[in-house]
Amino acid sequence: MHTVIWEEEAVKKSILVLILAVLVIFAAGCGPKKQEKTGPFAVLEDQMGRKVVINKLPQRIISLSPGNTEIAFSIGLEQRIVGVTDFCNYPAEALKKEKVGGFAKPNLEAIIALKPDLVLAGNMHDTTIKKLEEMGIAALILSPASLEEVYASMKLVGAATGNEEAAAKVVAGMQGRIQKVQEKLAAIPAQKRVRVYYEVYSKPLMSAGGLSLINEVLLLAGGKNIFADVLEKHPKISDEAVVERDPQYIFFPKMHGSEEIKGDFFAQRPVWKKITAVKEEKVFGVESDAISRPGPRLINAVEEVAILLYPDCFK
Amino acid sequence: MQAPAEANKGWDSGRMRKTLLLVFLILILALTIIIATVKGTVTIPWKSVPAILLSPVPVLNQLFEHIETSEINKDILLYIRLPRVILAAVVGACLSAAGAVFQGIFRNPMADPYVLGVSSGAALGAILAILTGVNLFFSGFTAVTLFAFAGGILSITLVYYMAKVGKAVPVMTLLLAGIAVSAFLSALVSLLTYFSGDKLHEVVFWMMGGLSGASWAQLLTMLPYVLIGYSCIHYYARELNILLLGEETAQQLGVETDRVKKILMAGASLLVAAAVSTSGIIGFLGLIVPHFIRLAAGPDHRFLLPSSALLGASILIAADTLARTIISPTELPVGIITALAGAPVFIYLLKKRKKLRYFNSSEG
Repeated sequence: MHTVIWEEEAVKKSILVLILAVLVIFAAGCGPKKQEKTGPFAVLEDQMGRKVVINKLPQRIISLSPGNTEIAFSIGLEQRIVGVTDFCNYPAEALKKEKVGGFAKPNLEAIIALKPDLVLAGNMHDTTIKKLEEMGIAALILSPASLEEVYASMKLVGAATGNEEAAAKVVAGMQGRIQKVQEKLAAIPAQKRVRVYYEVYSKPLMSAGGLSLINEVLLLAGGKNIFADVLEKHPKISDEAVVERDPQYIFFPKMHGSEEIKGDFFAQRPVWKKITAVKEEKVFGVESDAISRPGPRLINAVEEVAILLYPDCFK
Repeated sequence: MQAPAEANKGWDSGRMRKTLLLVFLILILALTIIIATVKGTVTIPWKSVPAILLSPVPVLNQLFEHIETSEINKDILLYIRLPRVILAAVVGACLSAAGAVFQGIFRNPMADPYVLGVSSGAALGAILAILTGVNLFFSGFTAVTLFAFAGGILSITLVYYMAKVGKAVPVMTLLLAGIAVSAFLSALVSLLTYFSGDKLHEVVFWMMGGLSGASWAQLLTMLPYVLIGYSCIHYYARELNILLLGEETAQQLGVETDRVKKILMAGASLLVAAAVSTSGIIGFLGLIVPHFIRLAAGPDHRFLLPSSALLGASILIAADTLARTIISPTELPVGIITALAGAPVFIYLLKKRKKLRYFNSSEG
């Protein structure tokens, strides 16, 4: 009997304590409201349609993708960038910045530790972005899939960071260079445009489809991508398809281990030695990052490819 | 039970039926090969196929002289498509026959060719070759193929010696050892996959199974292993029948179970290793095809083994043709198609057959 009464008392006491605790917590929550801030620095819509409010001029910017890093550096934000990913290798100054992790999995703690006020993210960073939003850090998502969208993202970043003029200059410069290339290529009629095959990957065989940036670069450089009709970014295609479409030029990305690749790398595959590009030894490596990263170096890629395809036009 | 004596009777209806089935399967295979060589990213007009194939044959080529065949079609047919179709046939045959053997040895309808860890070992070998970027090229076999083959053989050797007790290799222990080794090697494979960086694509694609890049050189190098493996298992087909009755019964009937099991396993593993090393991990064939044949013609391994091989060959050719034509010019990995198609079929089989009565388990 004695124990039962004691237990009842204990239960009553704990309930009382619990109620008091809950009340205290609520009271703490309802503190005086924070003062209204002065109007935000910028209210923008990013490339995923999100409304992003930037309260004051960003001074500590973190980029979560190599493409975004190149864009940010190109419009003059070098001094204000405090963090980049492990893969951000261009320009050289980017290598000196603090690293916040990989491309697909940025390290949230590393990001927070750098106290950013603006994060330039990509469209695969949703979990990270959610956390950043919860903590009140402005996150701008850039996901350009074409050259026009790259221009748009540069202008967006410019508007977000007060560098609109610099961004506009860079875009104009890029457009000017493309214009020059187009002018030089204008003399070549449609029938004389060459068929190009870009090998993104060898095993499995992957090429650049109609929805890829690489395709656009090839097009702007005056070439005809043999897989432009495949409406994917990087389709896995069959040997047969390449042999049948008979490209006149073959391009592959220059990376580690691919420096010595020449025609015979392709010629040893069954039947490939009959492909025009292999027979005439028109097999070239191109700067891999420039052609596949959505950033300012796409223009370099266009020029590089155009000169390889139509050397006479660019003497 | 008088199984052994009965099986030796002369031309009874069962035997007739089985022979007819074999002939039927051969015809199906031939038809599948023909269709597969015609269909593809590049449509080769069907008249061209015999024209190209028979052109070196002195008398028959007169029949096809008038047919125009483009140089490109000829090259694609002879050097890309035909080796691929033949490879599909060989791999399908290997996996199905090996599946039948393992189902017999373990007296378990769920056994498949990968039950003893050959696939995990091969995957580990392949991923090591891919990640270290070793550049071997040995008569049509790349480093990946060689390492995968070695990995497969090594892992089953490990399983065998783990399960061995004196001279005997108890079946239950084998199965458990296979599961353990498989799990461990798979974990290693996962770990390496995680750190594969820019080789990730190649690793994942290899494991999903694919027949692209087939060449005649590769087929010729594979052939001896396939022939040796198949000879081993067919040699003991009768003993495999007796093994189905249980090991003790088989021993009492005069079968040297340890030796028979060892040779059967070695032969089947050779087949599986040869298949997996050239085309990655293609699932469901080894599991389902033998059941199909058993439904049609019973569990006599003297017919089951060649029939499974033939049916497996046809099915894999068909699956591969689908893989390379369904979203042409993009290709799907063939392992995905066999799994997608195989699973519903297996479920249907399960429902149709309340008991898989050819397997002696304690429930009978």
